[in-house]
Amino acid sequence: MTQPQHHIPEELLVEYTVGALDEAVSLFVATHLSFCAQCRDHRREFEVIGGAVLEEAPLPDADAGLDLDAGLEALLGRLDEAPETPRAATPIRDERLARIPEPLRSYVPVDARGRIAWAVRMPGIGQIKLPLTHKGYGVVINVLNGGLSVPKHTHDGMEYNLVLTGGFTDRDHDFVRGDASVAGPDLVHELSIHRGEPCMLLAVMEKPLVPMSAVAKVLSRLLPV
Amino acid sequence: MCDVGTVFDAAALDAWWPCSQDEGVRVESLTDVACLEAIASRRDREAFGVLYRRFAPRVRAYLLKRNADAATATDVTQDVMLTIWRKAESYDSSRASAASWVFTIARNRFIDKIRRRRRPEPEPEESVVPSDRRPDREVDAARRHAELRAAISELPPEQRDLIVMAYIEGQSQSDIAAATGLPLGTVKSRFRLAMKKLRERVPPPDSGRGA
Repeated sequence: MTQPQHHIPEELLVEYTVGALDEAVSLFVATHLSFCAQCRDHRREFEVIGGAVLEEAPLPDADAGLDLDAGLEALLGRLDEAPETPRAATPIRDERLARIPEPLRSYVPVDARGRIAWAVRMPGIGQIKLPLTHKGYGVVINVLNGGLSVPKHTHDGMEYNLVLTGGFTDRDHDFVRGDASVAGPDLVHELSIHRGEPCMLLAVMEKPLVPMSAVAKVLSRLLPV
Repeated sequence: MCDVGTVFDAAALDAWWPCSQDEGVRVESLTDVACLEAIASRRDREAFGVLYRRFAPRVRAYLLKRNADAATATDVTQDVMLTIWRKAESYDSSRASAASWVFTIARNRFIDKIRRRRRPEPEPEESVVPSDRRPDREVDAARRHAELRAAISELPPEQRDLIVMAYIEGQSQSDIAAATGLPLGTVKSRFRLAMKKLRERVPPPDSGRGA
């Protein structure tokens, strides 16, 4: 598979590595990592640095409070316990779901027949909300037909997009499967969806989208999260 | 009367002591990687004991630093060490130091158990297989670990403090700005400088893909 060209910014990848991010943004980062060997290498390097930091950092309690002999003794008695077996994966009955890698796939709600229950509110645009354990962000997957455009809009907060299928063009840059984009609140942009395969897009938004035109205002009632 | 020479049976002692001492030295001086391999290949409990004594205190101190209470920190430490026992064969010594693997497990356990917050993980990589073993790269990972520790200790204190807050306390850059009263821009630039210095002193290995 071709590798993504648009990556996770370094500081966001560090924040993911140290466990500082919310579930929603972590999901965006982790799903990009499933596509991207380069970011996985960077992440591993940040883990390696983390190992060195943890050995080098001053930790005053390191020698206190743990009875090593008793702790080891207790644990030696548990070594033969059977580990929990992971749940077997359920077969995928929806071809769009099959195109979504983990960890995102497990978040996508499916109906009784195992299909994604898209909410279609406008011809050419479908959307599904992802239920997260922790609220605070809007997290959806949009599916937009090839050739559509998303009119000029901005966001009050951060916006994280990850292309799952198809592609779009934003300010002369092409984003295709696996590509990540991170936009701050000051960015005004419009997206042209590439012709051909529908564009499936993970969108993680801190705040709802703010439309800049009448068309976008109509759209914002359909797309917001 | 009380001649020490007659109390000790020197010959018997010789027969017993050097062997036992060798055993002791052999196990205690095993590297972290050798211990993990001994666990992975033959479920070596003695090697596990060595790793436990090396890592458990520091893992627990790390959990306390992240505001776990004492009892929870001890429970999670046990859980981390049990995970090391069970997953030793998935550790790839050509990619990372044993310490970074152990602390990655500790961080993930902390997030799961203490904060009860999910942190989604990417799909596991298929490329991590024992046939992929590259002894030269293993030596390299251990050397880089030592060099990184030295490079971190030599960072200017204002840069090192930020790295420690991020890794040990799990703080984002805006958390760090709020906690220190520094402007966010200053935190970002110090962080970038620190990472740049570490990268210059200890360049990341090439990924080795396709090799």
